[in-house]
Amino acid sequence: MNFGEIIFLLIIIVTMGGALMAILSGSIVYALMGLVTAMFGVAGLYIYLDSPFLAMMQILIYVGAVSVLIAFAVMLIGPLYRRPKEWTTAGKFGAALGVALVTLFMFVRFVTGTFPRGGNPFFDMTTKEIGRLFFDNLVLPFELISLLIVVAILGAIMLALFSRGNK
Amino acid sequence: MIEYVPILVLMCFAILIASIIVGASYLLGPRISNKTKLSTYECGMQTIGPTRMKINIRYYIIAMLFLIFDIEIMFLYPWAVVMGGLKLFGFVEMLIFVIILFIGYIYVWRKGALEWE
Repeated sequence: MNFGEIIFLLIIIVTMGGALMAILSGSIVYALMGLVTAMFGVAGLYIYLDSPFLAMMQILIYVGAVSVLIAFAVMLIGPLYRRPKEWTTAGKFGAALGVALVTLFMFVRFVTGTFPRGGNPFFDMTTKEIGRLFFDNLVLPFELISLLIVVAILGAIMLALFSRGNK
Repeated sequence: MIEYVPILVLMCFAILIASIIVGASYLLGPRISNKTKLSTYECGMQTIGPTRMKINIRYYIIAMLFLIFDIEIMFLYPWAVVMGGLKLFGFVEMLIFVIILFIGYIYVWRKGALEWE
């Protein structure tokens, strides 16, 4: 086991730990903290998938902005402390069955060698390569992104005005 | 993977410094607990009302706009990385990108979503 694999295992532990904290915590604030940890871990996984730009996006947008948005949403609503409803026995069995089936399916495909391998990437997904494509082949899509963001702004404003009560 | 070593070193130092600060105050600090010390401290004032109060909806709108412009900033990074090799074309393209978003910003401003009534 080399150094890279140890780091990979640490990232997996952080991601899984955060996800477990998010679903098992009784306090919604701690659940949010767990979610942020899990999203941070996912950013680490993106680096192992050779997508540093996506990893940076994950940290900047999800860890940075979406978590703030969820925190505000948590602070807007109550109650802050309430244990989630306990699962019924049938629900537990159903969930366990589902997870077991998916795991079995993936295991069988992995063993028989039909697990989907990554194809050849369209381009090298470094930030530099993405930038080069944005200003070379994908000029129009790049400008369309800005239009998309403007549409998102309009949506946000509509929500804001509706919540205020005037048209 | 070698290009991520600086990030790893940075993370190691962050963890190290944080644990030194917390650990040192845990080890060296005297432990006296009385009622006043255990009470909630908020700038030396008596706290008013519950801490986890409900906030104004307006914060949510600000956060939503922050998220949107955060995504815009995200797309400045690829441009910044390759900017040196680009001629005027790259600059103009980015200018169009920013102007379109600026129109959105003006719209937000004119609609009064940034006002705090």
